[in-house]
Amino acid sequence: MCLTFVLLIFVGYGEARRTTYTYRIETTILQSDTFIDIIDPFIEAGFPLTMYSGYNSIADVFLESNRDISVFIVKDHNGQIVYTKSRFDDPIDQEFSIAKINLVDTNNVLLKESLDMFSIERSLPENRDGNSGSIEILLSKDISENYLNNEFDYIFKALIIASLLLAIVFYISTSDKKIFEPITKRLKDSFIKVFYLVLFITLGVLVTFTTVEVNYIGVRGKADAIGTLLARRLSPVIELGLEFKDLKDVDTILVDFKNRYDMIDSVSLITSEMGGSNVEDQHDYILYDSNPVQIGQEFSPDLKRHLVFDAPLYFTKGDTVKNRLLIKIKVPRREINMAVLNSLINFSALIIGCGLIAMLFLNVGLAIAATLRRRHEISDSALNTEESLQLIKAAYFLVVFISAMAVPFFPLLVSELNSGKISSLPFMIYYLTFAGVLIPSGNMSGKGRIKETMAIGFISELIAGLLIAFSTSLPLLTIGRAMGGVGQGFFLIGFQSYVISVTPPEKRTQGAAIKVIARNSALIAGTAIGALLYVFMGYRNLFILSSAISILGFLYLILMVPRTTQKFGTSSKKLELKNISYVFKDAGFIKVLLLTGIPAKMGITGVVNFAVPLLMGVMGYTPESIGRYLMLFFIVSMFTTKIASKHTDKTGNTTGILFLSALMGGLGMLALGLQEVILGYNSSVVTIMGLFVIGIGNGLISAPIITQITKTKSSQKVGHGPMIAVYTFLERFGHILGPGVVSALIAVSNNRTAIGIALFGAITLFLGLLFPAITRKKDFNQIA
Amino acid sequence: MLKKAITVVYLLLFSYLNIVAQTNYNLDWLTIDESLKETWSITTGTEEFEGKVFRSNESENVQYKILILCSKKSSSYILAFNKLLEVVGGRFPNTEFIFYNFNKNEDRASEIVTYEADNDITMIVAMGSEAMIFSAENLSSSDIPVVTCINKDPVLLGYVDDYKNGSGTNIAYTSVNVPLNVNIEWLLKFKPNLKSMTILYDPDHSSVVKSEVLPLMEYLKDSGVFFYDGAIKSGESIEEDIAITMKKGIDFMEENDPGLDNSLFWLTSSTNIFSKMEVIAKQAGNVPVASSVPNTVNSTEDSAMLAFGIDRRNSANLAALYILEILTGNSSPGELPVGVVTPPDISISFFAASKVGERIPFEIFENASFVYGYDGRKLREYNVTVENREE
Repeated sequence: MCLTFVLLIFVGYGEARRTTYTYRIETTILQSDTFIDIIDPFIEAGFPLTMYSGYNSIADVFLESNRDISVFIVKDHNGQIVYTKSRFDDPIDQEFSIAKINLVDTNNVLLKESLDMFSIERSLPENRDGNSGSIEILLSKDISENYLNNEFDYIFKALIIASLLLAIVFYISTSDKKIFEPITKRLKDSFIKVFYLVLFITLGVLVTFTTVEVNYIGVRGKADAIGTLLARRLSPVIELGLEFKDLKDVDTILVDFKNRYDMIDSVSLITSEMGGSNVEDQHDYILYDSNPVQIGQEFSPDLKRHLVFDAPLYFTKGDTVKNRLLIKIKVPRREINMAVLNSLINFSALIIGCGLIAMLFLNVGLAIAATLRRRHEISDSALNTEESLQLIKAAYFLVVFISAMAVPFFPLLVSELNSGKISSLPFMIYYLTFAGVLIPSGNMSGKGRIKETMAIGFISELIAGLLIAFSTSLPLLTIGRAMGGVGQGFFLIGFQSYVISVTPPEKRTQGAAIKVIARNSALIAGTAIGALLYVFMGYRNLFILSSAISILGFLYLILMVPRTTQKFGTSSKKLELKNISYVFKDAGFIKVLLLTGIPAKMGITGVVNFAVPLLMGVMGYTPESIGRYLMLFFIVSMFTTKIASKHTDKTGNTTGILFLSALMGGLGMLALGLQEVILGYNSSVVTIMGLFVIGIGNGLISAPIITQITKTKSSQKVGHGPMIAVYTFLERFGHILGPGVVSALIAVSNNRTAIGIALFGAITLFLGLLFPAITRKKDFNQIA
Repeated sequence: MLKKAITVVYLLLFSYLNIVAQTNYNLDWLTIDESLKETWSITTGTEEFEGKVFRSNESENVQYKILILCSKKSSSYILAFNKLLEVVGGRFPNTEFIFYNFNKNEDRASEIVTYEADNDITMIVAMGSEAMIFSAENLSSSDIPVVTCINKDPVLLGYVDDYKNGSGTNIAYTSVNVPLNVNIEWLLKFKPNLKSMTILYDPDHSSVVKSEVLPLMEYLKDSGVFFYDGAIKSGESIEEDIAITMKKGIDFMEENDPGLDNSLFWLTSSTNIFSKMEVIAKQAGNVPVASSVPNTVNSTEDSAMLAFGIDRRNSANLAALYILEILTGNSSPGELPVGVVTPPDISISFFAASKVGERIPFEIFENASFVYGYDGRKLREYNVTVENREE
C-alpha cells in the first residue's frame, strides 16, 4: 500500500520532470525561431551559411537569455560545423539518442537526449540550390533537475510521514494483541480504508498542486524567455551607449517578433520613468510597439485580460532606475490558463492510473490483513470468494501491468532496433506464442496445478524482460517478445481457472469481471506509467524494472495467494488438441466465436490499437492526447464490464448483451470512420463519442462472453476451464488477424484510414445482427 | 636666366627623387606592435634587397626560415605581418621571418627568391595580390611551399579552378574577397531602394578590377541601379583626382537620385584609394561611404560609415594557420582549399553616420563585428564589447 504512495509521487515527479523538460525545450525552440527568422533572408538571398556574420551576436543572445543552453552550433547541409559557441571551455562529449519527449510541434525539430543533455536540431530554410543547413542547440539538464528537486522536497518528506502512519495503522488493524481486541474487525477495516484514502488524497493533492505550479511556471517561463531574448537582442544599443533614434527598423523587429509568436498579443519597448519614490508615480511610455499606433502612449494594459511580462534591457552603470528601458510582452490570460488546463488534463490521466492501482491495492491490503488475522486460526480455505478474488486480482494486475508498460513505446523500440524500419514480427510472435501455450497451460491447470501455471507466467515475463532489456537486435527482441506471449498465456489460463475454482456458478460472471477489471486497470495504469518511465529510464532500465516486478509478483503469488480447493471448478478435465476439433462441431460455440468473439478481438487490435491512433494522428492529435483518449476507452470498457457482469448474473441474458456489444462497437466505428464523409470534417466530439461507444461495446462483451461459452454444450462435457482455454486460444486469432484485416480494408479504401475503420464497423455490425438472428435456444444450456 | 636654370635643376631633381620613390624597396613603414617588440628583434637583411629580418629572442636556433614578399607599402600588410608573427612565431619561436618589398618589380622578386633559396628558406609567403600573381606565374613549379596572404580571390583571377579543391601545386591560396552577393545583400539592407552608386577603384589594380569592380558593375546594370565609374589612377595627383572623381560622382548620382537619399560611394579594396580616406571622407559630403575593407571603418574622423568584408587580421590569421599546417607536415600546400575567412566582418561608425545624418539599420548593427561610437571610440571589436568604455 505504501508502494502506491511511492508510485503516486514517482508519477507526479516524473510528470513534473517531463513537463519541465518539455517547456524548456519548447522555449528553446521558440527562441530558435528568432534565429531562423533573422538568417532566413540571407539564406534566401543565396548566402552560403559560412558567410553569415551574425552568429556571434545571436549565440551571445541565446546563451545570455537561456541558462539551459550549453552549446550553439550551426551546420551546413553536409553536417559540417560552420559555427559553434559553448558556455564551457571543455568540449561536450555526449552520446545522444532520440528523445522520448513528445513536443506539441515537432515540425522540423529533431530532439535527441543523452544522460545530461538534450540536443535540439532544427533545419534552416533551403537556399536557392535546395540545400539546407541546420542549427543544433545543446540544453543542459542540470538547472531543471535542481529546480524539480527543490519543488518536490516537501513532498518526499510527506511521503515518509504518510508511510510511517500507514504502517502503524496497518499494524493495529492486523494485530491480535489484547489491547486492540475491543476494536471490531469491521471497524478496523473501515478505519484503515478511510485512513489510507485520506493519506492518498492528501498526497495526491500535494502532488497535483506542485505539478500545476510547475506547469504554470513553465508556461510563464516561455513568455519570459522570448521576452528576454528580444531584450537581449536590443540591449547592445544601450550597452554600447548608443541611442535607438540612430537605428532604423526597430519597429519592424517588434512587429516581426509579435507575428512570430502566436501566444503574444503585443510587444512594446517602453521607458519606465519614476516621478517620485512611490510605485504609483511610475509611468511607462511606449517607445516602440508591435502596434505602431501605440507609440508615444502610456503603457496601460488591461490586467484582467492580459498577463504582462517584463524583460529589462542591459542596465549600464550610467542608467538610473528613473529611466529604464524594458520590453513588455502582453500575453492573453486565456493562453496561460488553457496551457495549464491542458497539462492538468494530461496529469489527470496519470492520477487516474495511480488511483486505479491504489483502489486495487487497498482491497488487496484488506484481503492480506484478513489473511494475517486468521493465520493462527484456520486454513486458507477460510478465505471467502471475495477475498480470494481480491488476492488473485492483484497478481493478474501485475502481470498485465508488466506487459502494458511497453505498449506506448514498443513499436518505436522495434523500429530503433530494426534500422528505422517498422516490423510486425515481434507483435505476431507475441500473439502466436500466447495462443500456442493456451492448450498446455489449460492442461496444466486442468490437472489442478493452477498456481504453478500462473508462476510460469511470472517466470516467463521475468525472462522476457531481461531478454528485451539486453536486446541490441531484432532477433533477441523477438525472442523476448515471444517469451512475453508465453508468460501472458500461462498466467491468463491459470488465472481463469483459479477464478472459476473459487467462484460459485451463480457468481461466475462477477468472477470473470474481476479479470476484465484487473486487466483494464493494468492497461490504463501500465500504459500511462510505462510511457512516463520510458521517458526518464530508457527501455533497458524499464525492462529490468519489469523483470523485478515479475519477481515480486512471483513471490506474492507463492506467499500470499492461497491454493485453490477447486470446490466450484470443473477444470480438472484435460484439454487436448482433439477438444478443439470437438468444439467446432458445437454450433453454439461457433456462432459465439465467429459472430461476436473474434470480431470483437479484431476490433481491439485492428481498430483501437492500430487504426485509431493512425486516424487521430492524421487529425492532428498529439501522442499524449491519443493516449488519453485510449485511456478513456479502457475506462469506459472497465465500468461497462462491471455493470454488464452484474446485469448478466441477474438476468442470464448473455445473448442480448453480446448482440448489444456488437451493435455498439459497429456503430462507434461507423461514426469514427464516416464523420468526415457526413460532416465534411473530423470532429473531436464525434471522435471521442465514437471511442466512448466502442469502449461500451468492448465492456459489454468481455465478461458475458465467458459466461456464454460456459453455457455451450461442449463446456458441459469438456469442462469450463479447458473450454475457456480453447475459447481464449481461438479468440487469439482475432488478435492476430485484427491489424492485418483492418490494414487491408484501409488499403482498399485508397489508404483512407477512416473509411477502413468504417468498413470494419459495418462488418462488425452485420455479424452482430446475424448473431441473435441465427442463434437457437438449443445451442446453449441455460445454466452454466 | 639663373632663375630659369634653378627651375630646371629643381625639376630634374624632383624627377629624380620621384623615380627613386617609385623604385623604393625599403621597409621603413613596416612596424610591429608594442606587444611583439619585446620578443622580436629586427635586423636588416642583405643590403642588395633592403630586407628586414625578424628573429625571436625566445629561441637561439633557427629551424624555419620564412620569406615574405610584398609589392608595395600597405597598412594592411602591417596588420597581416603582425598577425603572422603572433600566430606562427608564437607556435614556432625558432622561425626567422625575412621580409622584402619588391615594389612590383618581378625581376627583383625573382632575384630575391633565388638568393634566399640558396639560404635554405623553408617557405614563401606571398603578401598581397601582386605577390600572389608573381608566385602563381613564377614559383608554381618550385619545391618551396608558398602560402598567399591578403590577396584577391584566386579563383576569380583564374589561378585556381574552385574553392573546394586545392591548387595541386606548391601554392596554398587564401583570399580576402567576399562573394559579391553577400556584399550586395548587406548594401541593400542599408539602402533598400538603392538608386545610384559611385564605385571608387584603381583601374591599374587588375586584381581588384577583375574580382570586385567588373562583377559589381555587371550586377548593377542588371538590377537597374545607376553607377558612376569612379576609376582613379594611382599617381602623384591621386588626391586631386579623387576629389574630382567624387565630385563628378555626386553630380551623377544627384541626377538619378535628387536628394541623394538612396545613393552611396562604394570603396573597393584598391589600396591606393582606400589609403586616402582623409580625402574621400572630406569629398563625400552627405553621401555615405561604404567599403569592402572593414579596416576603412575606424576611430578617425576620416572613417568610412560602414564596411562589409574580411578584416585583414582575420585573413592573415587564416594564412598563418595554413603555414602551421604545412610546417607541421599535416598538409601539403596543393591540397589545402582556397582559404576564405568566414563569416565576413561588418564594421560601422556611428561617428561617420551622425556626420551625414544617416541611421544604421538595426539588422546591420546587430551583426556588426566592429562598432565605433559617436565620438569615434571603438565600442565593439571582434564581436566583443570593448571593456573599460567610459560612460
